[in-house]
Amino acid sequence: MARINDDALMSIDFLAGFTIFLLSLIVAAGMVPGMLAGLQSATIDYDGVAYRTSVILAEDPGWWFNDVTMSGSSHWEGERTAMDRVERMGLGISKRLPNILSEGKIEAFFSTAYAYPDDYRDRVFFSEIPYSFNITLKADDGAFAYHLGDGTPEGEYGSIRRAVLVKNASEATLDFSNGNVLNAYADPATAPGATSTFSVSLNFTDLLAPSPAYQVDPFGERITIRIENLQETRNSTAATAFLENVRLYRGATWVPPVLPDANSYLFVDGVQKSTADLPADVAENLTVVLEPGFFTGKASETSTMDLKFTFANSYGKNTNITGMFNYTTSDGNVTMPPLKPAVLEVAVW
Amino acid sequence: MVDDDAQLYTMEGIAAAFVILATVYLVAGTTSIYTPGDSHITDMQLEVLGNDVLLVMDTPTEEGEENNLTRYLRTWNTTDFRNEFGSLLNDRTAGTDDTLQFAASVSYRKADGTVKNENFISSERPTGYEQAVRVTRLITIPGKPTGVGTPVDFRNVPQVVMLEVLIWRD
Amino acid sequence: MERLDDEGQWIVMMGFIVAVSIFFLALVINQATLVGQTTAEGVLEFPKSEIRDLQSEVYGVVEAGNSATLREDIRALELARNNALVNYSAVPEIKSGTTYNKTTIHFNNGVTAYDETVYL
Repeated sequence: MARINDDALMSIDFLAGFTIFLLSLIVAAGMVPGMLAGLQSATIDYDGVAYRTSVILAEDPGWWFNDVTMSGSSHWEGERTAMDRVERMGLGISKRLPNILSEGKIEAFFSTAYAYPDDYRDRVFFSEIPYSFNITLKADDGAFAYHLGDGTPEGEYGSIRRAVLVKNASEATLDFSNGNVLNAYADPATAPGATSTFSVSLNFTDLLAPSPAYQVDPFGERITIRIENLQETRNSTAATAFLENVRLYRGATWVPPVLPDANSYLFVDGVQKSTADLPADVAENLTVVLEPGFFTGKASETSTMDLKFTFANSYGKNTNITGMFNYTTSDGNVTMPPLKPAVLEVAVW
Repeated sequence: MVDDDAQLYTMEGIAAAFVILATVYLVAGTTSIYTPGDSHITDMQLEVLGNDVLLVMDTPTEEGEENNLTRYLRTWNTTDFRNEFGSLLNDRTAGTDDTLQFAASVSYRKADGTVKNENFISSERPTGYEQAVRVTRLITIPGKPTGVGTPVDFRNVPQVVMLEVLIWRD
Repeated sequence: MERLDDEGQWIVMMGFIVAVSIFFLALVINQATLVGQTTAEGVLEFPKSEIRDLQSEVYGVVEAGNSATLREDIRALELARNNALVNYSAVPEIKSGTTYNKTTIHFNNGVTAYDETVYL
């Protein structure tokens, strides 16, 4: 090599070497997608996230924390205003009883109070990756079916299925056409006084005594009190009864506000009433619904709370209802539904 | 025209090619083909569901009542157990039911202290293409099970038995 | 060769770079495989349901009178069928006027050990 060849001619040897190199580079580059194919970690990840979410939903009771009073509890279903206090949404009834879900929490979870998907991502998924999801809960006998989220996509997604039991809320029905109820809580033969008071007593110590799967939990469950066929309690020629107000008492002290408030409903003859509509005439039926969260801040676990119905009596409008009805599961008028099997499915993509 | 200039080019090209191909060969030889079964995800899903179903059957639906699982074992009621377990296992929230198969057996302690395992339910279709998972549950029964098909070497005292169920996808 | 020919070094360097990058990719892929596998295996390996099952069974046995034959049944069954060493004991203890059964449960399946003390 006496002189550098600058004729812009490539020597054949150079071409041969370069060609061999390029060919092997192309072969190697062609093998790389083969190594990567089928190893998309997406579906592996989605199934894991779906499992973790199903554990939080089915086995964890959730957590609610009020940083003003620095108190927390697992009853997050009663929170209707400051949603930030709900830190974790679990549907379980107690951490000692996995796979038993509380109906109050189910209804709060699937309600419109929380926006899909942002409110759920912080409280159920706990990940920075924005997963889309779809959660369904259906009773095995078809009694209820809840659905949240978008439909499952055509492509890959992770999912898991859990079998759970759902604890439904209790309710009390006092049907005054039944002779026993009439004798116990009304006295239609006697002329009534100026007012008639009927109270429903809730002894929290007794209600909370059994295991969480079988107790009535006033803090976490809906309590429904139905008074039916009130016309049987009227004295002589009265046409209706006149309901003054419904109030909550702890012992002798009234606990404001007057019902119905933000966490309760009052139905008179099937029509929902508000505090502005009271006093009102009651022809036959009266229903009071206390939603979860009604007793938060008003009662503790050892309180005894009384719900007092005050009726004003006058000529043509009276009722002879009287006495105190103890709301316990051993009373025949209180129905406690059995635990119901259901299926919970979580899909993540 | 053909001369021995630029032999170094050729040699270097061949060397580079050799390096690349050797690496690719080593790397491709060590990565494994990954099948969905290797990730054990389907196994985990079946096991979680099976444990859930046994827990649901083992919980009394009303306070103070006997739970379904104890009743089925106490009376050696294989038909009702098969129906309830099958429906709880295969119920889905939308669409048709799933088609998971299962087979159950009961382990108990004999009079001489050894543990014996007896068949409770055999499946009609024991061949599946996927692996099976096993879920277990301890159950207390008040005495020897009273029912047709009970094995004879049960002790007639209150005892704890273990129900094992194999679950697989058909 | 009067002087070392340093032409064509680009080719070899490119060869090395490609080889190293393929090697790196392979390492990354290997890790991705393990991530998914260990998620499900971790769930399968931890005996959550077995421990909860044992808990509920032991609570039931202790509250019904803590029979020694039932304890032997549970221990033998768990050892033979679940490969787990299990033991529990219940001692009556009086706290603030009420008598409780102080129950200690021990579970060890070779990979996970679990101990619990509960007042029933």
